[in-house]
Amino acid sequence: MSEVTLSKAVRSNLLNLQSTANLLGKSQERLSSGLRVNSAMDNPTNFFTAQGLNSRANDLGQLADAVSNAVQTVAAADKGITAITKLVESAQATARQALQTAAKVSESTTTGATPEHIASVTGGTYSAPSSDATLTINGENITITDGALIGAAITAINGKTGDTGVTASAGTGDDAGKIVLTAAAGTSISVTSTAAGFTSGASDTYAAANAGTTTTTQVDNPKRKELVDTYNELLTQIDGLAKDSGFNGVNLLNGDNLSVLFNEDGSSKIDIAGVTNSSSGLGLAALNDDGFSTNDKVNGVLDGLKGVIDKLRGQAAKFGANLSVVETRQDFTKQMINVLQTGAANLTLADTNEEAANVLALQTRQQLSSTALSLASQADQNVLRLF
Amino acid sequence: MSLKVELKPHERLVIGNCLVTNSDQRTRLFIDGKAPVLREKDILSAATADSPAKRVYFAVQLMYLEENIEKLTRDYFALVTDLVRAAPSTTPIIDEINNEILTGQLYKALRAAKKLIQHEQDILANAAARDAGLPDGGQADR
Repeated sequence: MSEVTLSKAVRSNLLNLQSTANLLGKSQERLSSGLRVNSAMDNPTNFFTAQGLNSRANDLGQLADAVSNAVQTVAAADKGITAITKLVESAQATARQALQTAAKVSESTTTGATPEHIASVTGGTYSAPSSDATLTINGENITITDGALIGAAITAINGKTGDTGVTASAGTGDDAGKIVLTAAAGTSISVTSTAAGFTSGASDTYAAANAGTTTTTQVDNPKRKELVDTYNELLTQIDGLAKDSGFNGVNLLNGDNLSVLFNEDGSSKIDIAGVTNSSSGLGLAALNDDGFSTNDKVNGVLDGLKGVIDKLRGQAAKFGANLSVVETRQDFTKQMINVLQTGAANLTLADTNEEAANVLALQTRQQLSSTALSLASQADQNVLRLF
Repeated sequence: MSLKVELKPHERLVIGNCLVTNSDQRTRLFIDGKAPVLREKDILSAATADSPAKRVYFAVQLMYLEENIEKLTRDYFALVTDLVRAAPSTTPIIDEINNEILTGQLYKALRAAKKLIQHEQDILANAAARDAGLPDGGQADR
């Protein structure tokens, strides 16, 4: 029969297993022979120890509840910071948008403009002359014959239009029964005799249209003013968020501090200092209407916002680290409670022989367990590998 | 105040991530600072941590040297739960270790874990001692 060759490691493992198996066999033999050492009946110490363990598990349970509240508080602050960061980023976007719109726009104003004035003279109420009358318009004499009605007078005036540049028409409305003289463009009217309802000296001067003086000035872009309003609105929202980031009455973003106790007497704890993340706490002030009026001003605001973002990231990292510490402790405390309860439940039934047998059985089992392997590999990654 | 350590010839000492080996004469060291310090006699290796209690000690030793509890929490509790199930009388000592770990006093936790190894040996010795009365109990005590 050929021999089986064993490596050194396997051989030592086998030897180990053999000796463990021997001890185990003996313990079990004694157990079956009824040679119990510490039974629950005759060991009140174990009973009271178990009670002590149970009450400690309860204490830790209450502590774990408080820690779990703390986790929620820090998580709420963490969420608040994330949301505030987004708002500050929106404020940055608003300021950048302002940079992309022109700071100034041209605005034209026209002064002194007047429309064209067509000369027009309205006479008094027309009455037919009792003898031939002479109406002098622009130096041209027009004869209105004796007893001529208004229509005839108008015809007479219009007969001279070529010379006077003035057209007559019958007035309407309030001017009914009057002759209205209207000059052509560029012609003034001057009546120099009293006749046909007109009084000597009645005149009206033509005035050409005046385009006025147009001045163009550069004024602040109203678009930027709108962006200032948006920016200020974002700051208000930041204030609201900072106020709403609490849990259970503790708001780490509104200046509250949190103290998390990890053991009953408070000797182990973590103090989490709160911050004030309202817009003023972050150093962001509401802008005046001209807050974005120049690019320099906008860039100043952008620099401020950049600083705030950095500050918020720092805070988020700090709260994140605190959260992870608290969560680790919370997890650890829960496991501790578990161990205490397991121990207490079995303690009253404990028996030294049984324990010895169990420990030896466990020893065997662990040699093949993944936990032992995992520990060994972790040891390989640190200073222990030098041993 | 400095930590005072006296090393025998060729004795080794872990300071932080370094292994310090003494030469062939006695040496006295004064150590300041925060790195974990462990004497050779207090160090278990993966190979020498061969009983349930020693494995718990080994896990705590890793936590102490790495100054990291989180990484080993799972393995540690697997070991501890197994041990408490097998030998409930270890619970008070384990509670003490847990408490020191929870409050971040890893060196004290290591000292408590040393008590656990002693307790385990007591359990086994106690069982083995009673063996004397039985016939055919030839195996040496542990």
